[in-house]
Amino acid sequence: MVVADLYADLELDLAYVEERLRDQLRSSQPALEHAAIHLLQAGGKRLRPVFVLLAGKFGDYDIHRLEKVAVGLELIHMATLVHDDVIDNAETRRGNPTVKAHFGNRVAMYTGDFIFAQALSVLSGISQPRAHHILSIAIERMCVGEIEQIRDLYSLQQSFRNYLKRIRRKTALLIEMSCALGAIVSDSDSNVVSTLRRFGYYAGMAFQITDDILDFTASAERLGKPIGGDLRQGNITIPVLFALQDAKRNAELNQLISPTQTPDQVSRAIAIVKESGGITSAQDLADRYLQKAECALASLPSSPARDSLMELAKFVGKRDH
Amino acid sequence: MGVDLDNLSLYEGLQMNEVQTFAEHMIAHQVLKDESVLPALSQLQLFLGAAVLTKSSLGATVRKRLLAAMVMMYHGLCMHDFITEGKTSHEKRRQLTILGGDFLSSLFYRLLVEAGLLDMVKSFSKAIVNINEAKMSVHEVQLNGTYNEGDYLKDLSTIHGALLRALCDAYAPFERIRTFIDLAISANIYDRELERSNHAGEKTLANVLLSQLATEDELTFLVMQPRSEVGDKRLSSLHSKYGTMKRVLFGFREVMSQLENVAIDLIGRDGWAILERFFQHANTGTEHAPSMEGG
Repeated sequence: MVVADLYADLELDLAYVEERLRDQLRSSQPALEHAAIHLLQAGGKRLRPVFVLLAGKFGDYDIHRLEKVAVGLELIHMATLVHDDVIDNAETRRGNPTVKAHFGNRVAMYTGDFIFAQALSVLSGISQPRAHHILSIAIERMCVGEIEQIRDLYSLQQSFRNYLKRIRRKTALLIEMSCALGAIVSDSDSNVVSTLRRFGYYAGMAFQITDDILDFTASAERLGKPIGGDLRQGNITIPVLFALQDAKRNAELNQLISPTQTPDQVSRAIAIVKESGGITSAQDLADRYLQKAECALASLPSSPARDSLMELAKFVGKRDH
Repeated sequence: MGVDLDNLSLYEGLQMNEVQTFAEHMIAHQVLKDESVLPALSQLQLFLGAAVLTKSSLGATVRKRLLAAMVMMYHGLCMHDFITEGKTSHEKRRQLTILGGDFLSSLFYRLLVEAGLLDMVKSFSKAIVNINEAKMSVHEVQLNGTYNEGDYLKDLSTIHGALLRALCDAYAPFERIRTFIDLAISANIYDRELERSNHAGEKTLANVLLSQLATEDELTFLVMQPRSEVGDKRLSSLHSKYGTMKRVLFGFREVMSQLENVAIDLIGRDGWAILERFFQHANTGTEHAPSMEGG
């Protein structure tokens, strides 16, 4: 099975979700709607909705209940993207100008807040209090993860544990929530909910580690943004942490990576990380998370949805862009 | 007037400082504290929110969470107004101001969920949408005479009052309470406007008024970019010529007078005495207006 097939199976429901996303971005203020639609039209893999819908297949699948989760979580993801681009001063995303680059910082701030409000409005239609309980804690932790990422910029002394905690909050939580909430609103058995939640966590970790690898290895064209962006921002990711384990490279990287680093120093640091085997070690780690994801799914009854979820996890953990 | 706002009772056994301490404790992430990006929470918003909830059947704990949630969202959104265009020398502070605003917004959702007030998530969300639409309108307009003080005050009233109005709709859907909230927010807007500097390009009430009154030639000083000392002086003299700050002060006095009548009727003379203390210019006479011209 290839990932396009996963989407093909869900084509109608994903089209419905896309339509609902667009509905939520309508506004009586034309400039605000324009900025929000700009972001929507930049596309994206819509991974979170796909996870939600597939998780919903393990219970009483009802697109009208699942749509609230799928749309709500994707809107939260979009709201964070708009603000992240202001934080990172990012000019392009998925090969297109960011909202910040196209409309300015202020507009990006208002657009992000507008989208977040629309997300909460949609999510408030979910009747299960448990879903809100875990999601509200998750969203708060996501914000804390982002704050701690700023705290840890240029910190070469940070531990692997610190990195893993940060990426869980930054990325894995929302994928974890997609799986858990998809199962909850479909009235799945509590064991199924916790298994899918665990699966989402492992898949989300593999996703972010792969993202951090791609920042070193992908081409700018495939990535839709300049490579090496993390290091340029001072964001210390797992390939760098592995490279730092080698004493000789550690000394050189410590000299190169700092708030005053020059573009040449960043290029040299990227080269060192690539030579170090840090990428391979990071890929091994992503693979281990994928294996854990597979193990978690193995406890669920065999079904096309289970196969699709595993294929999706492999795709996000092995993708090249 | 001898009223200690911190120990002000918002409800039987629920005091202003209890809600404030609770909210401050929740938002006090060490990284945000270290970079001093956390706001001082608005006592006016808390006071007005408590006034709206006076007749509701909510218990003290739920009431505390609801008020804290509302004030956190209010400030979460306000923090994002500090983000301007271009690079700054305080990059970390800028980044944390964005994330701090997002963090406060996330706590808003968590508090409402914990309080079992999912309906309020929906009502407040609509208000937040309106707030951002109003902010965008203010951001988009040009000071060329097409945008008047009525539009400006309406947008600012949405920005500072929409959350309180959502609270009204849910817990006190009565005309006189709504009028009370509208007037209090309006007075607060005028009060702030009296403090603002009217530089070229700034969207202030005085500049909006000037854009309505000035000639086409004079208007060039209102939108002059880049700003210059000569331009600022000329702009200041135009504000004097058209008495814009005096108009703002008159507007403030008028709203305060209306507010006083409604407030005494609704929260009594003691309540009014407390409310009046939230407005810096409550005792400023109109004779001081000329000294405020320009800026």
